[in-house]
Amino acid sequence: MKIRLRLYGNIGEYGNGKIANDGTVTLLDGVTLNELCDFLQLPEKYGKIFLVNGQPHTKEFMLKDGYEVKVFSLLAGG
Amino acid sequence: MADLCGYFGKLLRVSLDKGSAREENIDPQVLRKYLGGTGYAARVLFDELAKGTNPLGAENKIIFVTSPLTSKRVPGGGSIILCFKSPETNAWGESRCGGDFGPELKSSGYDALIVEGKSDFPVYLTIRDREAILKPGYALVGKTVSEKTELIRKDLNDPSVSIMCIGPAGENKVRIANVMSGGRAAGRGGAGAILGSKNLLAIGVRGSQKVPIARPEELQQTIKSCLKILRNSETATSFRKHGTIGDMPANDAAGDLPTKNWISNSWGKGEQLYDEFYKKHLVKNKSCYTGCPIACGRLAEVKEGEYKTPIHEGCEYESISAFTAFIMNERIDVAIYATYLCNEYGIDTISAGALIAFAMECNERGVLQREHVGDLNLSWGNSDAIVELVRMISLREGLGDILADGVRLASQKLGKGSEQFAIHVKGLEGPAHDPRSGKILAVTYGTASRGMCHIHPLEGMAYDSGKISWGLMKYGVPDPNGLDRWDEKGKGTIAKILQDGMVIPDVLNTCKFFMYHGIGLEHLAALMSASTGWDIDGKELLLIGERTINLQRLFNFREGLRQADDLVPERILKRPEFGLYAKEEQCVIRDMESMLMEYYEARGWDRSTGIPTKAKLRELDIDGPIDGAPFGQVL
Repeated sequence: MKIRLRLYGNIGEYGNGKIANDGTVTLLDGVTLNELCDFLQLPEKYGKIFLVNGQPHTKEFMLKDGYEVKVFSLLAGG
Repeated sequence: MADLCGYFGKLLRVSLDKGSAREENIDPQVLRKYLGGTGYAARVLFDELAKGTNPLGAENKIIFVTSPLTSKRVPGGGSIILCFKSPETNAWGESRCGGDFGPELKSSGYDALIVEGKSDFPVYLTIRDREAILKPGYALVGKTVSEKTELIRKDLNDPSVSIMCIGPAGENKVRIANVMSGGRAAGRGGAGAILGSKNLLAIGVRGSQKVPIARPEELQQTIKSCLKILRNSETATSFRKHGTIGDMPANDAAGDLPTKNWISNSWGKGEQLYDEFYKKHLVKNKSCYTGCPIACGRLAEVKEGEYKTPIHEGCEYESISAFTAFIMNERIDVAIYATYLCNEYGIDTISAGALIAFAMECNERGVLQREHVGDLNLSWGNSDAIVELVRMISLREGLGDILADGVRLASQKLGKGSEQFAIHVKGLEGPAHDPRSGKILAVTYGTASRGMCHIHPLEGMAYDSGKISWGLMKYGVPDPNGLDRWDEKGKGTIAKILQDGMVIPDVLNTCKFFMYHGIGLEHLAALMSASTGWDIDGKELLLIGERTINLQRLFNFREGLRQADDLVPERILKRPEFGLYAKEEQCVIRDMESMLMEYYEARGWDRSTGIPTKAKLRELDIDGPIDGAPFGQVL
């Protein structure tokens, strides 16, 4: 399956070499958000917020073909 | 005590009513116990201000305070802390400002500057290498911040003298007035109104004095180690690239972006606004003090159009969120222009945005009448009204005169139920983080000494949503990854340790953001030990943090604040009415009282009153009188 993926803030660089120029990533069917993080090698220490098709979801959420996924890591500046 | 190192051991006391400035020695024992910054200032103001001091009266004092780490060499060491009794809250007030002013004040030979009394006419103060001179300030009256800065530099024939000054808003005693320095602000709590009430319009400092350092080589090595940590930090790199405003997309997604006067905690436009800022308006990053290795500040401009804005500093996450999401303004150019105006008039951007949001809701709900509004169209997001209200608040014109006293007093004046949507704690307007994104924030908002501020409660939000432990796990904070951001049990206890640790950057005048990037209490303790020769470790810093918070709590207790003042507004306990989390039950704050009880318990405060117990004060070695009697007899 193919999903559209964007990473934000201090995890932005983790997509290099994994996200294609058209902003997509090809994965096996049935991958969860947590497994996506593993694939991207996102450090566990960073708190993450996921939006899938514009809605918040937890890391157990299972992805499907064509979904748009945004992963945010929070720093919370003043 | 051996020779004092890391300090000059001297403060400058300027008595404006007498037109005098005199040096005083500082008791080294007090420095050892409170170190500096907001800790030392808490001791001074508790001892020197009487109960019931009028914040805008001659009897209020404002202290500009440094620490041994106030130095451009020390990573994060470029800042000054201002402490005072706040005209917004009638309670403990403090405000930090990044920049060279702090290091320059220190290099002028003083650890602190206390300003007291009131001048009969406008003045400004210059301090150069232990020479303080009060000068007439008539030519500065009514001038904007950049105009004042330029005039003073010309007058002193010194283009790089470090200046803190107020704008017209401070002169008008607007209670949200700030004190500006080189594009940065000591923003919150109304320090600018206090200087205005004293007729002190500006302070210029420059110094070349060298403070004695106990172990210079060790200090140099420790600084090198800290810089190495920062160089290897991903978060530091990200902060340099995106600044605080780069948090807008993430905070919006997390439900941490208060929207439409806190009716919601997300808007869905954070990403779009930030992208537009980054592509069209960001000029480059900028450090607040000379030599900062991170330089998270932003220089921005609006090149053309009705809201054309010169290159200026100030497009921070808080400021831009206050002028977009708070008030439903989708135009980033208007937000940039409004923050620029705030900086020139000298008002706090967070409180200004919050007040405009309040006014817009008052308008929508029919609280405001024609006499208040005139021809102003106060519909949500209306660009012209946003800009006009910044001016009206700063100059105390029309409705602006009511808003200029802050949202608590404004709602009391306007009535008609507007108190229900005046969002503040202790009188300080809420900033751009929302406890419905993570529950510790409700506790830290409620119990922070200066009210609902954007800096002190930040640790709660970062812990819950960012899973940032701030290096405090070794001091009892559980791994944030083991807790859900929406859990409530345990959060009161965690809040206590987070606060004790995270007040330390304000005690040591260091930038809190450096702690995101791996500079922990141990590093700060090592820097302090090398500077002073005292053997200080992280555990002692935590104790001093606790002492500081307890003394500030006593200050507020003496001013009449009680447990009810630790509550957060009802609206922010409830499920948002729209946005990403409108259907999310878990974000509702279910039991604020239990979280507070747990917090009081962890603090060693009386559960029924929220006041430090005698045993706790003994443990922290805090003494002093309230109403003339020792704490022990009053509490």
